[in-house]
Amino acid sequence: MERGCLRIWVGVLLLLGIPLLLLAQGTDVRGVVSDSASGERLPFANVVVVGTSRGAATNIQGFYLVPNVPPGAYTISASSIGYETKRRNVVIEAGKPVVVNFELPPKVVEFSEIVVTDQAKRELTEISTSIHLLDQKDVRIVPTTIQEDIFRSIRILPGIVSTSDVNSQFYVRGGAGDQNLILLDGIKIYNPYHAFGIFSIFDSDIIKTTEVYTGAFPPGFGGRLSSVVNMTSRDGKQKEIFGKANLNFLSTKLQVEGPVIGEATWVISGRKSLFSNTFRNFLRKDVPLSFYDLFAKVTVQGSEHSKYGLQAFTSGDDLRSDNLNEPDYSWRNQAVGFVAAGLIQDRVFINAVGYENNFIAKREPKSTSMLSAASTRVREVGVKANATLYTDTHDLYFFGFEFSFPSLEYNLTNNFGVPRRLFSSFVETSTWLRYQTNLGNLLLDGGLHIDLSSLLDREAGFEVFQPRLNLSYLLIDNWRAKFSYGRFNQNIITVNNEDDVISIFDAWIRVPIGLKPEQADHYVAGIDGNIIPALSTSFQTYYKYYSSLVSYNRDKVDALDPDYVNSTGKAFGFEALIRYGVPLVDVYVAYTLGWTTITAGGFTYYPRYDRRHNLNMLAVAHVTDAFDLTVRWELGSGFPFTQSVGYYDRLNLGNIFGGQYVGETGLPYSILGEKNKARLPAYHRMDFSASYRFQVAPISGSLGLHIINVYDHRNVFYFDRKTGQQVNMLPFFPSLTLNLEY
Amino acid sequence: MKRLVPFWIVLVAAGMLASCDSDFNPKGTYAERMVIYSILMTRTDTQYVRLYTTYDPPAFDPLEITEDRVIRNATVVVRQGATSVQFRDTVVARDDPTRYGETVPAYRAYPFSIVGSQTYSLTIESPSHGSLTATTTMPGKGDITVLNPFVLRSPQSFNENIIVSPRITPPARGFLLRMYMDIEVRFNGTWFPRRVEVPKEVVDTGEKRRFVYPQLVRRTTVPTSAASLNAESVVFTRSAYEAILQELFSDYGSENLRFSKIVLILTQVDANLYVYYNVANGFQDEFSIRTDQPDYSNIQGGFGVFGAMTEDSTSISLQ
Repeated sequence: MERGCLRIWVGVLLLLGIPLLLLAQGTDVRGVVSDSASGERLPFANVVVVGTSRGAATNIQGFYLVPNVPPGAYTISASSIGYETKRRNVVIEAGKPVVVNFELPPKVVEFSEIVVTDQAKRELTEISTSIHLLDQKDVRIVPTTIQEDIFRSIRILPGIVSTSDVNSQFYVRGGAGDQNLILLDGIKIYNPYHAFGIFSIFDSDIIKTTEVYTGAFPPGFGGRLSSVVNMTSRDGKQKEIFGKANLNFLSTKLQVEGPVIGEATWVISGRKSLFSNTFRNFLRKDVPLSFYDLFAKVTVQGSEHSKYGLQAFTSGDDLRSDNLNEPDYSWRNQAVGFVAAGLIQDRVFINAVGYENNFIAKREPKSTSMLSAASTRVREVGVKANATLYTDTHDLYFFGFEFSFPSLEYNLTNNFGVPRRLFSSFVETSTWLRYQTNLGNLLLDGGLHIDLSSLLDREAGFEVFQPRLNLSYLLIDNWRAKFSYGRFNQNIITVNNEDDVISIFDAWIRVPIGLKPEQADHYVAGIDGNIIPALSTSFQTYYKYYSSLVSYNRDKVDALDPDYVNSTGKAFGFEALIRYGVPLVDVYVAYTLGWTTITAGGFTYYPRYDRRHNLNMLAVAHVTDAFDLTVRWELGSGFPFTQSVGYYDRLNLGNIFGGQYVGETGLPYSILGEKNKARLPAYHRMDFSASYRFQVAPISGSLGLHIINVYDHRNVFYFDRKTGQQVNMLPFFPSLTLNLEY
Repeated sequence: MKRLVPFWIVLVAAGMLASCDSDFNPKGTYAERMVIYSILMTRTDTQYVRLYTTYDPPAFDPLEITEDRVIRNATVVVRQGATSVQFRDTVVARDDPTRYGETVPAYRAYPFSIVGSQTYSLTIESPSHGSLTATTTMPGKGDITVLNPFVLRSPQSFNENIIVSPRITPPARGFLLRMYMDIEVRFNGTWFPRRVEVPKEVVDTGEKRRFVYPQLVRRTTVPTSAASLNAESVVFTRSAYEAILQELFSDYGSENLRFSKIVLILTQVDANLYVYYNVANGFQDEFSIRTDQPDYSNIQGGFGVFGAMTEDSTSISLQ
């Protein structure tokens, strides 16, 4: 079926491309760009045919193709941030494609290059309004809660907010936490957070690049309404065996990688938490939290441009308290995937992945009567293939399909004391076509993503055809005006109590039968460019209309009424991103002004993640080649909050049909003010870190001092309505890290 | 070092906020409001109104409050057309005296017989808390028909469930139809009357069987006119009926049992009581996965409910 579908697409596109192919008179130059030290392939590298306007950027697999180069002698150069530029002379003859591979030697990184002048990344992002590309260098410059973390790093991007220090879960441009599509090498990951979300389950050292789409993402990504975080893992070093160890107060880590026979490489990385000891000894708090994660991958570089990888990861978290009145929680995540990439025809490059994942979360209430036992499980088998068709005119076609078979299970004991099991197993199917072209000053990237499963299963209508469009117009110099539009569907959601101040346990369910899938339309417009070479800016405004969301049925009275109904929502706002970089200092400022509302049953309210202002400032001082100082400051206006405005003794009238009700005392019922009408206090926090890199041959390493919440601001995490106890987020918290690499 | 200036600006600007801790109070402005509970019933000629206030515990634990916030000296009047009835202070026994003591202060009207299909309005005027009004419309007189009463007399002879057709009056939003069996049981040579509720279904889980009794349900028919009675349908399974008989025989022995009659009681409730009762009791939805606890009140500016219910019954002899 997979081959059949692919053949149809290839056939369609070849037909479309025949006129273009007939014009071909030159020769294709193609190859891969890799790191000369590790052998790791480099995405986003620039390849230029010197002296011409021809060139290309490498894709996520490090592959590039410059089509239709006329015969002749050329110099071809390859460059990438953090690497020395390499040039090669080639003689191109008509007919046969020329393969030119590059191995770029690493050089000392200048951070100003990263934040301002990463040309290849900019070329990739200049067509879209809402994409951010992060590699390991970007992740490292963000001060962390002791350990680098992808999800913590992307929180500094405009449009992204998090509701707490101790939660990596994030909300993008007014979207809910379950509206983010998280992919690792194409494998869908559900709930990719360690307990409380302090870390994501991905060690940042195994992630090569991260694409973050904060809106209007292109065809090929579907099933979520708000954002895509598309991570690509490293393949492992090709030239030598390499080890890395990290020890800090919260966790310990060991990573080993290297070559095996032939062109194969492997990488294994594992982490284990040390939370309990740290919090007990340093913060005098009992945090009975533990986690682990383990990632392993074997990659075989095939002939010429092909690559095959088999990978697996597992992670687990336990939150188990000795206190019988505190519920226990546990989470488990496993995934295994097979990835294949390479040319299947001269100009068709394919990326395919087959995977299975499994996520389980459990809640054990023990002696507490406030919560019931619950568990949730997601198991999914899927296959996804995306092909890129290169044309003579530099236009690109992307097309592909995805089949996945998620099984969702949610077990709970409901308010009625009745055990409930919600189970659904279904097919999610989508296909897409995308086209990229350069029309002089105008760049166009558009296409159609088709949610076939909604069309077939839910008898949905025209809304399953999801057009996506990105336009980018060169105004003057390097200033571009951009516009994006996209429509998105979502068929699976998480359920939790909308009135909870925090949510630790989120269960995945399918959108209930009878309701429309969630749907959103994104409109984004912006302008970006450099004011001076060292100062780049980006300004964007967005509007998202949710024509269908799933919310509590506020009018539910009895069993005949559904628990959930379709609601609507909208989010709009403005984002500014300013980056300044000179050799000594880099400054990054991201500001977001946003509004989000949901309307259910005629009532409009702010969801709990609606934040009006969000400001992130990051400054890095490169004091010496080996010594950096970093300061990060975040300011966020308060999140919505429903106030308690008293109690009354509510009678259940339990004996009304048996006799009398007058003698009933009733139970205290908390009277809440208008939903989410009030605001929590503003959040602000400064972090500081100093990092010193050293080399004691053959070991290199770094020593870091990190201070979280330098001025010890008491940011409210949550409070207990019943006891009034206020729990704050992370206090002043200094720590040391030691990284050793061999 | 000039180029480090932006770095220091960020550091100093953020540092200026070092002492900006703001106190946070999760409580909003408290305004004391009235809480009213009154369900007008046709089953009795004594009607009650419970009247008290909301409260704001000094800290956060509502159970710190151990004094009932009763509103005294209020004028409580229920009107129907030109007729008005004033309620008087009284006390009734409290079901659970743990928190507030043995008695519940309330307002009572006696004799006050409620008439079906009429609209009643409640007016409360309190010198200390102002005034409130609420209205309810009584359901009318219902009707009960057992379509196959022969099954009740000889269940082993038939292979069909017991089908009852209650007829609901237009103002009723929901109804509850219960079936009782009146029996006599002999102890030490003396016969004592007893009433046993007949379950609607019996669920056999393998280890033990569980009886399922009728619940308050929403009417499924749409009233066609103000005077029309709409027939609903309630099924009592024959297996449940036989199971309850088996239990009686097992408990008392056939020689100590005498079967008198089947009594069917139809309770109709108005929309206010129906919605309040369901919302306060988990929507009466054993399949719900909602974990919130919403509220409902038809008391404008206050809490509680002013509702109405009627009861009608019929009996079928088992002799």
